[in-house]
Amino acid sequence: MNIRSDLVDAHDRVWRSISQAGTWLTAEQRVAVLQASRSALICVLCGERKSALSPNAVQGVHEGVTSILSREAIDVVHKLVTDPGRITRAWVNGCLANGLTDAEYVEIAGLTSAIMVVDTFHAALGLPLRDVPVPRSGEPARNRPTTARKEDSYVPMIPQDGLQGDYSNLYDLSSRFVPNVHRAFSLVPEATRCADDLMASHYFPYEQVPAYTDADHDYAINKVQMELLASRVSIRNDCFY
Amino acid sequence: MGGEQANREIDISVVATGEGSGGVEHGRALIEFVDAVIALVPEEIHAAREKLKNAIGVAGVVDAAAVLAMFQLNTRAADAAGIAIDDRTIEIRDQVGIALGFESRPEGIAP
Repeated sequence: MNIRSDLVDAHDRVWRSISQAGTWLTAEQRVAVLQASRSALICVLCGERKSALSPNAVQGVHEGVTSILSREAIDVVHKLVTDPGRITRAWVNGCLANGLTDAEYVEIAGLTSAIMVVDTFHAALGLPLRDVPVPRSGEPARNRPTTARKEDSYVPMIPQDGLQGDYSNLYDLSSRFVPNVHRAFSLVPEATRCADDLMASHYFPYEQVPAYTDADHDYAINKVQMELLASRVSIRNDCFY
Repeated sequence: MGGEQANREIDISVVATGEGSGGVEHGRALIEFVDAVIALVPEEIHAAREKLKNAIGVAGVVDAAAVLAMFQLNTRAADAAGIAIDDRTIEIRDQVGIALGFESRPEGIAP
């Protein structure tokens, strides 16, 4: 099967980033997030919670527990993979109260979501999943954007007028519209850049989504078909946004 | 309820019901592909992919896989961060929500 090179290149960059220290997580922890995201798919506890009316009432131990990640970190990965539509403010606050920082939570969520893109693409095309990378040496950057602020969201985000320094180009301000989904992971700008990279090759850049027409791309499916796919994924994931 | 794009009527209720094509070219095959991939059953994915390939070709299947994979991230970004719906989309969302039944959630908000 002939896969566009821009897709393969984007996946390569995601995989390379997994093996490197992130903003708050070590390379070992990021690789463990990948392993946890795959373990979640066969996790008995997640299956029971998914089918329960009150998922938080179901207690137990997740599949693939490792000492490299905290219990809360593993819970975030598994929840995000298996039941993202039932993430609530109270649940997020519980994760933060139990030791995760908001920035660690965002990095884990961003990384898990990026992994889902690559693994889902491979599963969809019947391709073998990429190998788990070997973690490289290095320390997390630990740089928190000073202009990120709490809005109505569960975690702080960088506002449209808060770009500066090494994240001055995080959004495309030539567009008047920066969608909130683009800002979702901005507490960890590298997570946003990873999502940007994937969007550019898999769909359209965030700020350009509303304006794109079929005259602006050379994909083999049209924009109406793309919107149908996107909407169906959203509803299957119970995503209100 | 219909939506109009590219000068033709589209039945957006197909997004929720998964039935029919909604007036979208090969819409039924696209929905079956999404459903199979989300369910992650290899045999169903294979069958749905072959059906889609016969309809739109290999390049179309690759692009369809890319879009659906991308929205695995976008939906999770929205849910993980608990972002608000963008102001400009609220009015449209309300119209769509009525058609698809989203407004039936308690207080009309995300869980």
